[in-house]
Amino acid sequence: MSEPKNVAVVVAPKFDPATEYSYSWSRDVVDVLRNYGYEVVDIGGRPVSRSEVTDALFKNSGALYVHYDHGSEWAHWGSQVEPVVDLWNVDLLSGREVYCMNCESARLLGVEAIKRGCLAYWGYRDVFVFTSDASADFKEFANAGIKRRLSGLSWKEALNEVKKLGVSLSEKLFSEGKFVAASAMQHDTDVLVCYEKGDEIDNPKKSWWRRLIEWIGRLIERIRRWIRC
Amino acid sequence: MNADKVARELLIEECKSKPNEKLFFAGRAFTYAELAQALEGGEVSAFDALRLTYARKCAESLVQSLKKILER
Repeated sequence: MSEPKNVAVVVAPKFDPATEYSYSWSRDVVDVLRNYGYEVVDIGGRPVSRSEVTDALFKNSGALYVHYDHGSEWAHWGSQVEPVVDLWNVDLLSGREVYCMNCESARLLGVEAIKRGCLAYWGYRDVFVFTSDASADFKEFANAGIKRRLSGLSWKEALNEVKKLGVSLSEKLFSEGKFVAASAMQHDTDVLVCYEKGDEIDNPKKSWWRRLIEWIGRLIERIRRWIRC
Repeated sequence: MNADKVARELLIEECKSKPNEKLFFAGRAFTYAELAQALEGGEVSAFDALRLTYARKCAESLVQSLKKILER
């Protein structure tokens, strides 16, 4: 009997100048995953809908989930108008590892995901900044974590190495006179985090009405999924 | 000369030398020419208020990060 294949769901929408870059960088990640024997569910290169992503995550329980696109504190975006994963359907991240190249989602969404059983959440607690004159360096930085994890390092080891890489790249860019890029790389390095199940995380306090809205949202999401089944 | 001033001047000089390069911050693309104006603290008539807010936030973030590199 053949071994079950590892599965990765890679979501990399493309719909504006910034996502031209993130989509391009994600192709390297898809190739690396396939080289490591992953079956890749590759959703991207265009605006992506919430239902496409929730279906893929629902059908591939436990699969690695990779998101390369715009993010907010509370969401991963699939287009200019629709988030694909947010605080309402965050329980879809339970039981899986998550690797993000997006802005800010580690600040709230990542914390909530870990609380709800996500195994690991790699992301940024603030905006991810990059420049057009150092795209190759930002691509190397953005993709470094997943490559190191796939090579056998633990998430914490990978985080440690990628933070050192970020500092090294910022100094290289500085020495090349690319001060804007160097600053952006330093910023990205500083705000990169990786949470794992069981970690003590600085949990931002939520107001009662915010908790109520999230509870209602999760209920709506469950009803939506039940109707679709 | 303090690190804040040095960092800001280095960034402004670079931005003016490559006005068409772009920086992506909070999902927005800013040309280096626009960044130079934000770093200099001037008003930019082409910006709407929200975009100007983001440009200034970006400029300050860059200054703080470059200071960190300079002080290393």
